Amino acid sequence: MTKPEVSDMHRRRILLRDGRYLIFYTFGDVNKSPLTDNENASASPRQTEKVVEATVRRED
Amino acid sequence: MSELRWNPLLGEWLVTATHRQDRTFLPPDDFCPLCPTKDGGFPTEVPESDYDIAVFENRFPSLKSNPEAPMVSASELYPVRPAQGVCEVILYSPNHNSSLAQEPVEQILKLVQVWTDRFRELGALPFVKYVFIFENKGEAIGVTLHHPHGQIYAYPFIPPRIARELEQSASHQKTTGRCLVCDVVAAEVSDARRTVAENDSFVAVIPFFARWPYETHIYARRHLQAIDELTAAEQIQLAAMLKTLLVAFDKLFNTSFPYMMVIHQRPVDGERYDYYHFHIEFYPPLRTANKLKYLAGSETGAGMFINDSLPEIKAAELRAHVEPVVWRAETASGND
Repeated sequence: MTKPEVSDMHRRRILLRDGRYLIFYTFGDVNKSPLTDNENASASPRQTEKVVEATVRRED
Repeated sequence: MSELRWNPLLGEWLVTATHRQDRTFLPPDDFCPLCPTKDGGFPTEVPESDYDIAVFENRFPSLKSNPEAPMVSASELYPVRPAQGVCEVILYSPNHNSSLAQEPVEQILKLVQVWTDRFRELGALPFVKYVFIFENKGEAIGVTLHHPHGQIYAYPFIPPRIARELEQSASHQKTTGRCLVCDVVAAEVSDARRTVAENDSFVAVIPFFARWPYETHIYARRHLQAIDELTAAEQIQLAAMLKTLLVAFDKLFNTSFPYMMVIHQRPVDGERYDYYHFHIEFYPPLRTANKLKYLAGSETGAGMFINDSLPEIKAAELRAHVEPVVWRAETASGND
C-alpha cells in the first residue's frame, strides 16, 4: 500500500479592496501552480511561506 | 455594528451583530458569493480559482480586529465591550457542488493543515483568547450559503461551553490524577457498543452522554491539547477518520447529512491546560431521515437535553455504514 504523505503548504495573502485579507493555500510542488495576474504578485514559482500583499481589482 | 454585552444571569458574554441581518441568504447557485469570480461575471468574494483551500475575513463578522465603540454605555450591572476578535471563512474547495464528505481524503488532510495554520496565526494575536473552528452544514442548521465552507471565530474570551469543559477536566484531574477525556476514550473503547470507527490515532464514538441522536465525537487517542500538536502521521489519521465518519453520515439516510462540527481545544491565553484533551464534536440535527431534533423548552430554557434515542443503537446504525478510506495513491497504484 502506498503511504499518504503530508505535502508542503504554501500561502499567498492578498488584500481585498475593502481591506479584508484573503489567503490562498496550495499544496505540493510550487512549480505546478501557475501565477495569477495580481498586480503585485511576483514571478513564479509561488511564494512559499511568504505573504504577498496585493490589491485585487474588483468592480464593486 | 457589533458589541459584547454581559449577561449577569448566566455570567457570560453575548454578541450583538445587527449588520448580519443584511448578509446574503441562500442565493441561486449562479450567484454564489463564495465561488471564484468568473470572466465577465459578477465579482464574488474570491477573485481566483487556482487554490486548494482559501481563507478570508468574513464580510459580515460578529467580531472585528478593530471594532467600533459600543452603541450603549456600560454600567455596573451591564458591562459592555467592543466586539474584538476575528471571523474567518474557510473555503474547502473552489467547487460549489462539493461537500467535505465528497472531498477526497487528500483534500481533508489539506484542510487539517490549514486549520493548524489558522490556529497558530490567530492564536498569536494579543487580543485572542480562544480559536474556535467549526462548520455549519445544511439548511437544517441555518446555513445561508451552500458552497462548502467552514468558519473560525477568534474570541477575546474563553466561550462558556469550553470554560465548562475546562472546569470539568480540571476537577477530574484534581480528583483522580487522570485526564477526563482519556478516561472517556478508555471507557468507550472498552465497552465498544458506542464506537463508530477507530484507527491508530483516533476513535469516533456516539458517547454515553450524547445529547443529539447522532452526536459523534472524534477523540485523539494520544493526550494532547490542540491541533498544532498533531504529528504528520496523526494529521493523516485525522483526515482519514473525518472522511470515514462523514461518508457514513451521508450514507445513513442517503442524503447530504446536516451537522454542526466543532473543534474543542485549549485556549490560547497563555495559561497551561495540560489537563485538557483535543477532540472534535458533531451535532447532527436529524433524528430520523425526515425528522429534526429541535432545541425546545427544556433544552433552551433549562439547558436540559432530552435525547429520545439510545447512543448504543444509533452507533450501531452508523457503524454499519463505515467503509475503508481509499487514498488516491492507492487507486493510482492499484493498492500496491
